Amino acid sequence: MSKLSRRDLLSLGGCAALGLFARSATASRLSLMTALAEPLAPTDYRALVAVFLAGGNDSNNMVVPVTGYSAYSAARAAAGLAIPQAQLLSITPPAMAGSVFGLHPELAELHGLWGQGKAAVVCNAGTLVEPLASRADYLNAARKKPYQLFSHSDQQGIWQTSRADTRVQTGWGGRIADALACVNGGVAFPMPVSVAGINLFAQGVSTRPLAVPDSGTALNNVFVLSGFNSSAESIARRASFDAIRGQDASLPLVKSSSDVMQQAIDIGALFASDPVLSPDRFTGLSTSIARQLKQAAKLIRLNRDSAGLGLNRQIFFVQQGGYDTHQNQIGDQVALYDALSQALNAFTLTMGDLGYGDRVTAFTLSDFGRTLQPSGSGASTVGSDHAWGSHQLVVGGAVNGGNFYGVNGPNGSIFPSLAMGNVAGTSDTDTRGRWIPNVAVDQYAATLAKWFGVSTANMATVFPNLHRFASQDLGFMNLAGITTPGCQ
Amino acid sequence: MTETGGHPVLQLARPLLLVALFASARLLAGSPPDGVPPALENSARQAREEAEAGSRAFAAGDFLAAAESFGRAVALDPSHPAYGVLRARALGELIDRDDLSPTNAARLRTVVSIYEELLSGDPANEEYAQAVASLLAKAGDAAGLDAWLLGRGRNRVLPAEIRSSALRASAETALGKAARENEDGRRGAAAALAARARQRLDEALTISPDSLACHALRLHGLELEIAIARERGDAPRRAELEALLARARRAADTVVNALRTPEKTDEY
Repeated sequence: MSKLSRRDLLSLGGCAALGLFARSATASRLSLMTALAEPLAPTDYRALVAVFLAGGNDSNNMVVPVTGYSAYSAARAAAGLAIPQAQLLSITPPAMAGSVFGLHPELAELHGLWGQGKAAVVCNAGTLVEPLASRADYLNAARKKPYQLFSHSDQQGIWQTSRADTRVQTGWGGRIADALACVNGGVAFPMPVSVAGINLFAQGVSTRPLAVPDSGTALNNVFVLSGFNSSAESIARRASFDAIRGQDASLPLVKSSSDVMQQAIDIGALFASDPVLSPDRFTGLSTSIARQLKQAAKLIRLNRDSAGLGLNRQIFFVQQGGYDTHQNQIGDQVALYDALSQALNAFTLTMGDLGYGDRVTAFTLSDFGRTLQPSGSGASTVGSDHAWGSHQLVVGGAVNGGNFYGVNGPNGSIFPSLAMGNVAGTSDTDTRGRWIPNVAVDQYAATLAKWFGVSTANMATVFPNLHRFASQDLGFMNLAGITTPGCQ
Repeated sequence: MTETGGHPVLQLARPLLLVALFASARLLAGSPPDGVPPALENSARQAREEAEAGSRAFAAGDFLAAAESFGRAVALDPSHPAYGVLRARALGELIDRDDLSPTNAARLRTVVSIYEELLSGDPANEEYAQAVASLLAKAGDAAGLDAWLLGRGRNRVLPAEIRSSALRASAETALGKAARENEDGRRGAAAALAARARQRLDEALTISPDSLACHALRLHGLELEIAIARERGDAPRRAELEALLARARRAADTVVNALRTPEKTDEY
């Protein structure tokens, strides 16, 4: 269990020192950026936070049917992979007409958010080129299927690009940023920010994401140009450095390099201090996912309070690894879900503290689900293998929470039948419980994009395959009072 | 349809809800009970149909129709573990903060009473508990919310974690109000609210001494109290609070250090 340690308590006391160098060296450019920045404070703020559960989350153990527990138990109990019914955190989704389900016992904080109506489950979502209504559809060679099913890298790519038909170099987060670039006025700060390194999700056609480390690094230490100080000699050397960067601007590669450097310097100036979260809801949370979400929260606070920012839209990408649970799944899921639940709860509480409770939505993505049939047996070795459709979590005050969402499958329900093999109502691809998704990544993402303000006209550009699916809004976001920016 | 505690559906549902929690294992397992008389089986089927209609209405945003359908399902099959909750959920969606009408107030009472009934059989169920807290907050019933949280925090039947969590939530509400009062220049009221929050957190930490969330909130609250004392020019009070803050920091550090373990690698 990892509810443990924390240096974060130390940060409760006050702000870190300002980066003197960054302030002095770029003051003139910062004032230019500030002049371009319009408006100076967010007037219609919304943020999306993608939480990628890397490795393929076994959501069969994340959301378990209590009504009909016997089918789940029959598949998993003998091998030691079933969560005991008594340990499940009971939920009663109105969409399921009286069927009771249970969340994994380590998702206690998310269970609380469910009760508050701030967390929802999107059932059996996955990569699709076109709807596949049944096992027969899947086995029909004429029907289009995503490329390289069950492969980590390919399926991660599709979840991030929403293009199951071909490989592309832009992600849906980046394309949303392209579509809504005008909403952020002239602020020279990227809409997408990754706190988990370089990824496809945040890459747009004209949008370059910013990558920052997690909260283990103070924001004012993220973009520090080393080798300079406040001495006269250093200031002169820095002036020469700036002058040299301005030369040969007619050469595209040199100019491009110089532009990237300048952007880093400009952003470094905006990161002149490390924002303090008070209260610090991440106190005691030491996991990577908590540190990433904390950094995202600090950036949201910085954007709210900094005169040079004031973006109306931000997109964040964070990642939690370790979900490729071929072995030791029971123990690993305890640690993973515990960390995820606590971090998402801390993030949600922080957004409330910042006055953005219904302005920021976090949602999960994952390579794929995992086979209902266990691989191996015995507590230390039992796990599950790569599969396809899986359940996703959506968290935030704008979520129509406390409910399941999705598209009906061959069993007439949005939640898949847990029957394995070729039996009536199943959506199994073979005999191991690999669910054919009812919901395409495109539908899931488009629902979020609509709330985020992407216009109907731009949806086809952001999600080229969306037109193949009947429902383009799954209904899990509350759109009351939401406007679509007219500048697109 | 009136939504009072005396509503016939509620009267029917209440005494049977507890029974439902213990008697529904077979239904949960998805199999019909053996030897169920045909009339009851028929009734259960009709209830399922009503529940399905309720689900459709809920999805369509017609919460009144959903509440009515789920209510009929409760009446037809009072032993079912979910129909009562679903009715509460649908009624909860109808509650409007700005609606001061008797109907709205009655709905709130009805929903809270359904959840309380459910909680009496399953006191640790956070789905129900959080739903009650959210409803009271949604209805703007700050006093009711605080009393409810305090009652839960002092209910010795509940696990320590749930009790401290309820007290922390109560403290949090008080701190939020304290901050607003302070911003509006009502320093006396702000100081009183912040002090009340600190008492609740002290109580919570007595129950769960290792709760980092409580420690963090106590530090935050003390910082607010110090700021208020500074703005009031109350130097002795400020010194007193700073001593408390130093002690609270040491207590929090002790917990953090005791819990410190090697960094877990969850990198992919």
